[in-house]
Amino acid sequence: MTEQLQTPLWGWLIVFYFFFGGIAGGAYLISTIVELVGRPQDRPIARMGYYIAFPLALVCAVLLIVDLGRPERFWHMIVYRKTLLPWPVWDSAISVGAYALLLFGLFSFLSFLDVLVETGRLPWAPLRERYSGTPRRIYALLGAGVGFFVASYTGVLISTTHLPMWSSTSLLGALFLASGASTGLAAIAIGLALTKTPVISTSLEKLRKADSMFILIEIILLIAFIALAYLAGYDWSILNLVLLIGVTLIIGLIVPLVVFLGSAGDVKRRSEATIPILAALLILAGGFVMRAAIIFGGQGLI
Amino acid sequence: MAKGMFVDTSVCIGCKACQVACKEWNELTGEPDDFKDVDGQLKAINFTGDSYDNTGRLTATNWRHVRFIENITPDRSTVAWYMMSDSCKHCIQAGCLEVCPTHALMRTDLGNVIVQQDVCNGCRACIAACPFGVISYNTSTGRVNKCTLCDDRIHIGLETACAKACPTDSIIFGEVTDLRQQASQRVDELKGLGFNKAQIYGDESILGGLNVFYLLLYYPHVYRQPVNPRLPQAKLIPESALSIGTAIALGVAAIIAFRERGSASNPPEKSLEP
Repeated sequence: MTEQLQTPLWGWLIVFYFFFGGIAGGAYLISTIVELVGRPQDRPIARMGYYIAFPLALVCAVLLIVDLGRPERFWHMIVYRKTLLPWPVWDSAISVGAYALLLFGLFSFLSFLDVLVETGRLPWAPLRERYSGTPRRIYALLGAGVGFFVASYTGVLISTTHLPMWSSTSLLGALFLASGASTGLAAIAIGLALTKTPVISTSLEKLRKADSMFILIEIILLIAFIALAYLAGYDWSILNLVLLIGVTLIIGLIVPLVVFLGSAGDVKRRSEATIPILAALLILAGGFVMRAAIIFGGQGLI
Repeated sequence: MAKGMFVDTSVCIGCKACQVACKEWNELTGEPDDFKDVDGQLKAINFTGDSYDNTGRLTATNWRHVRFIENITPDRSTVAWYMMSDSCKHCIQAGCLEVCPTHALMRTDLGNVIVQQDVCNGCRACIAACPFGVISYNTSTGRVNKCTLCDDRIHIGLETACAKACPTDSIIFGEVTDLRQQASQRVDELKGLGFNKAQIYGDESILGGLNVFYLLLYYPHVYRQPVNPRLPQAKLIPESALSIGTAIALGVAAIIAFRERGSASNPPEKSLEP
């Protein structure tokens, strides 16, 4: 390692961007899968995911723009200033990510609009009359693809640098993606509870089962990331290990997993059950702390 | 033909004329963090306390940095004092240029890499992509800055300001191919004089070649230079493959969870489909 590496000074705005981008991509993915393979009774889950994804995509765009040194030049990410033509840089995760966020914003907006029409919250007759479930499955599928990208490219972005923690493994894209899926599902669960949306117990059981599997995948990736970075010579700070192992792994993943597994019978028994909200909140907190620890730790700030 | 610089550290005397010339020609201010306004007068603070090093690093306003290295053997029997005038290397495979999403970083017809200040939007992706810690964020302009190889001078046939000011010809500006021959001869000469560890830093084995390259008297890490820097984009394929693999695993998990048939005893929610 050279002593003169410089850091990009990415701070809280980027932490929140990575966090919300993960939730948005993950929630959209769940909604799409429910849309495509779920039963009609599962539809409230899909709707909540779409309600969450678009507003968060908007927040992500705002966070990214505000974080720029020259926010008024945000459009330079998409269009080359001197030709006014799109000119993506395929080797640049941040360039491809900007296009992906734009597309994700479009697809998540369509899905958002779709559920507003479907639920009658947008009582505009022309839209209501032309409403059909078929196109939404097409753009949901396309949106899920870019949603996956939005949730994971942030990890790839920081991994393709020279900063030791970030570049020590090739797992950050995968880890952020798994975290996006688990936090996305947790956000859906919290959204359903807060809005008191009626959901049948079998749908909740599916939600719980999916999140358990997502958490398991994330646990494996997080442990592999910490171990492989150490083996690659990265010197973990105590604070970073406390945040990643103590807060994220144990409190934010293992405890919710145990709660989910323990509540399996509960969810099945009760017709008006909810999945444990505290567990969902812990998943969200863990996902946030993980990103903060990786972003600040990677820049030697903690 | 690419233009560049050969920096022969064996004849550097640490006078910092290059630093001053760079500051003056490029109209660079003092580093904001190093000065404090006291009663209307700027007073220097943040002295490095590190040998004769007065800037400590390359920054948005210090595009050239003369590094002083006191290399003491473990038994403290011998001390070598090395000096190195450091700057952007204008790499053939430039990580900063590869990651820039706005095309603000570009290579000119003379091979130097510059930041187009009217295009840069301050995303700062380039900073972490540079293995040499060259590019810096300028908080006062919201953009990044680095050495341009005196782009304005070299395009009208002048040499760089630092090379022009160097009193010992430690910094030589010219065609890269000519400079490489010159450097090779100088290494042979130094080895003949007993400097067995004299070596070129920046040949084609490093990022395709550095247009600004160095003759070092000792190993690169002693000069705080990365030994074998690689393009960070080389990790894109394994990183993407693992992400796609994880995406498939998550997708399959979700499908398994949601394809499961529900209990017939549960009343279906009223569908809102038209």
